[in-house]
Amino acid sequence: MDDLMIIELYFARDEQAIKETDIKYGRLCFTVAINILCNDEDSEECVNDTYLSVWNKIPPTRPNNFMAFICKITRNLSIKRLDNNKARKRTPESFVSFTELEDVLPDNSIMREIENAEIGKLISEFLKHEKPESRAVFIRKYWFFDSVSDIAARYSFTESKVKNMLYHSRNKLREYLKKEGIEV
Amino acid sequence: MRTPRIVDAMNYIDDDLVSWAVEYRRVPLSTRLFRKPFLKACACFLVLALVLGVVFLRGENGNVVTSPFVLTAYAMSAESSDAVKTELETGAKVPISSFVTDSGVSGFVFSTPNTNDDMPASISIITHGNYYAYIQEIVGITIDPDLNYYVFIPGENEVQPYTVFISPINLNENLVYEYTVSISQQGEEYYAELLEVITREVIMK
Repeated sequence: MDDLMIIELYFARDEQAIKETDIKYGRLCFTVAINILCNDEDSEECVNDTYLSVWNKIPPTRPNNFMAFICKITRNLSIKRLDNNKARKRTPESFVSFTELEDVLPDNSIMREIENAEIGKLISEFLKHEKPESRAVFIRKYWFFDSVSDIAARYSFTESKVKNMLYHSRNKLREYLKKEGIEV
Repeated sequence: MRTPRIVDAMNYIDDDLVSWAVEYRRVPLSTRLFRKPFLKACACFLVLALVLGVVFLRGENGNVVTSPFVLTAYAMSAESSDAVKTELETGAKVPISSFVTDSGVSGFVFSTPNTNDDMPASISIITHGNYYAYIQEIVGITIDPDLNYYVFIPGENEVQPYTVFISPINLNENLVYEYTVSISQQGEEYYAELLEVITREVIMK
């Protein structure tokens, strides 16, 4: 079913909307969740929480990009759950990605008054100027938290090529953010 | 360890980038190249040339014929004292006759061009029987020094159709061409038919 029609179902408060969302994006949401949590049960719960959140947000929100909208909710919920799990000492592989990203811009070097949304906007600008392949690899790794081997298989690269691309992208992003005055 | 701020900040990147990354499929270099019309045309031309080349080089029965040799069969002519020469082609029956040689034996005569510069033209006997003869002349055929001749003498107990194997060697290319010819009688006339030509590399020991 078309995204616009699914959104209309939400506006009509038709529960079929959740069914259609699950058919179309259930697998994608589960992938986002499991990449972060590395746990089937937690990921299933996150996906269900996502549907509930979407149900509560639409209406009044009318997302322009329903796929990104739902993925972002899943990602946020998964990261929150991961924080809870970390308190229970359950640390998945996505931590590696976190550490790599933190190397780009450590928390203590970010100016406190700068909002996350503003940093996100700058990262978007940076990515838009990257080559499509580098951009895709970066987003797959640090937004979807795909493993290096999955990215290599997805784009027919070797794993070392993917690691190399990520290394260069991180360095370039660090320089870009420094130039844009994000650092203290 | 807390989730770094930059990980949270990543969640604010443009929606379009996220959906683009979901749908993005890397196109392999080969496919990207073939999108260019000129390269596409070149590729089509190459494929066409290859197909035409293969068709041209293949005989009717599918065997690859790359032989530089033309196999010729000789038949007696009712109208002239000179023998009639007909080039053999796969699947086509051509007239052939039995000629008497200076050593007294009779046989069906074929010839191929002599492509080996270092070797003189020769007259060879091909037989399944026991004939020890040295042939210098074939009655009714003017010997051409640029041709190699093959005289096929059927064995005494050999039945028709006769199968003749002629294997001229091209030493320049180190290849041997194996012709298989069938000779059969129809009425009072004999006809030769080229069945196949196989090319093999000469193995030097």
